[in-house]
Amino acid sequence: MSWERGPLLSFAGIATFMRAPAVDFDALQPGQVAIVGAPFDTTTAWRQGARYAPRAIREASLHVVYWLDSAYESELVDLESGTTLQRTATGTVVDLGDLNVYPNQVTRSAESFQHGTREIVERGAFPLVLGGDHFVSLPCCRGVAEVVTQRGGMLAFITFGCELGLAGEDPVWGTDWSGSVVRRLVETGAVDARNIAWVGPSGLAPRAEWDWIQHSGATLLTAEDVHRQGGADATRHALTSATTDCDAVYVSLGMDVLDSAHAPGIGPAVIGGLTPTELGHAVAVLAREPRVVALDVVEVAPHLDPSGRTARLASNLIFDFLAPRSADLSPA
Amino acid sequence: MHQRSHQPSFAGVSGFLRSPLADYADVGPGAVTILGAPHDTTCSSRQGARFGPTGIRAASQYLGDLFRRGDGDLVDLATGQVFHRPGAGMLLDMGDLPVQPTDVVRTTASIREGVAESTARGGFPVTLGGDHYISYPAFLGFSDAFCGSNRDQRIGFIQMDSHFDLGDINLVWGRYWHGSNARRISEVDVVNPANMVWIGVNGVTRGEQYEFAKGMGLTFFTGEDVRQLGIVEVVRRALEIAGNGTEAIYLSLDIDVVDALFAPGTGAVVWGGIRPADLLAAMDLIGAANVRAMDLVEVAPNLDPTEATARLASLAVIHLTAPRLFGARRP
Repeated sequence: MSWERGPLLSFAGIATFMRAPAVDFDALQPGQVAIVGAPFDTTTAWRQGARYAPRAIREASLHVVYWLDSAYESELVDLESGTTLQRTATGTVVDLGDLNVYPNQVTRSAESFQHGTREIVERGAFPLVLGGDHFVSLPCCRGVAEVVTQRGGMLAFITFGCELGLAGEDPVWGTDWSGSVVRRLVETGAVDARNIAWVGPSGLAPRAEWDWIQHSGATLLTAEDVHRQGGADATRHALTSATTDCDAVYVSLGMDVLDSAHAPGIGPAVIGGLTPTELGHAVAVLAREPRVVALDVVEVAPHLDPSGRTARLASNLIFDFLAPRSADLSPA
Repeated sequence: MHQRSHQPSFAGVSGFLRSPLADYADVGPGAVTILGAPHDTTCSSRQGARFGPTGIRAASQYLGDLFRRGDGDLVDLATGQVFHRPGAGMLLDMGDLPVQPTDVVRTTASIREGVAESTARGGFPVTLGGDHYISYPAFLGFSDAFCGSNRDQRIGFIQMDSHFDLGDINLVWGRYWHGSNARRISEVDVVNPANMVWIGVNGVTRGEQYEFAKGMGLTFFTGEDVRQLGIVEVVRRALEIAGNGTEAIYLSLDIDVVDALFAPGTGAVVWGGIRPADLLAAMDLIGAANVRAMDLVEVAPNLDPTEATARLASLAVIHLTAPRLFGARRP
């Protein structure tokens, strides 16, 4: 007789995201959500640590899973919305582990991320990438764009974060780094400038980048815009303005869009950033947008936050994003 | 006008041990030159050594402050050793060398150039890392300037470290990273592996590196050797080997040679390391020998909120350079 497993507590067991089955690429099925890590932070200009985020976010996700697994009938009710969450564990969500990473070789790492993401989309699955610093969005979005373009479509890029990613060639970092993601996406032809939208940048930007935005047709919603309009309306605005003619949207969720008071575990120090509630409302809109075909969650640096709440928040936001689209976590 | 008075250790803008910020043109013969190499992209363990130069400079301020009190002499209560305040121009902080975190090749060239320039002007280069990879370009720069075109000269090499760093080509990191620096140094034409000595290695190592160390005729004293023989005897033997037929000795000090109990602010976690008192005794002995350059690597201040690791690192530099810097004499 075999030993029977009960619900695992959040600190027990091997941490895959949401205790999803660990699988390899060849087992991916169309319609699945593939959690995949890109633990790369070499292109971080200041405090590193995002290389530890995939593992930390996986661990942080076990908390809610335990609640679901140990609840009667595996149901939880969201007190704000009244929505019932069910844990059905149908295998819609799978964990691919981490992509190959070469910390002292930016190009080789980028190729790994681009190929990995492309293969997930080619197999009909939804890539949910755990970064990594914000640079990983560049190769991952390019991987998705390749497939979308091949199929005759156009991809929009909606990015959350405190920075614009519009840096040109930099004397220290060169062309491809965390500060140049959007510029490189446009330059490489992966995304048209009109199909770019930022949600949440704040602070100062170089004049040249400001001018670029004014002439590019891209959409900028600053942190202040979000404070005024709310996370949901600002996100709807971004989707409406930037996705004309697009049948697919890549969303990059830089956790540095949040104020450091709420998310201390991020490389930059952000003053005037979003609140978790604002970002939660934004994610709720994205979760119900069928054109979103890929999501990354980047810039969590867990060791800068001994409280662990930044990684927890990241995993909660992923839960919120998955709930409407995954049979594993279906609203009843 | 605001008259500047002496500032306490936590105030003011200054270099290592309150030294002035200098340029290469200021470097004269015999000057100890501090060069930061804040590069940690080639670190395979926990990062943060990019903050090493800044952390070590900050940690040295309290001692710099002590020198200005009284008559400028400091006495080591344990040994009676006297440290004089450095004379003008004897200690210069060159700031940090340019690094390109995503470009190991350019960073290598930059560190090599800076150390060579300082050495060529008669300076004693103290390169503050950074992860241990920077040891390789720092050694190249030193040997470029010290040996010049006279490649018959030999440079002895002492590495104090919990690890060999004798890896060759790694599947993830390639040829240049903080596990291959000593291997690359062993290939430099002015280095005879018979003059290479390790002090403090412990724990496990890859079989490939162990066989290489054995096969090339390198000498190593483990952490256990230090405990059995005593640091004085180990360093005496090491200096004999590194000094045998060589024109100069290069010292590479990885702070993780010290047990993690005492020096937690580093990427590796080591439980067979030596004690701080042994490290400082070794610095006194090596500093009195024909050492002409050093690097100090793998200090990651972000991993040690007590700052003890950076303080120990700054003390190691002070002890090693004491004969040049402070005219330190034993009682």
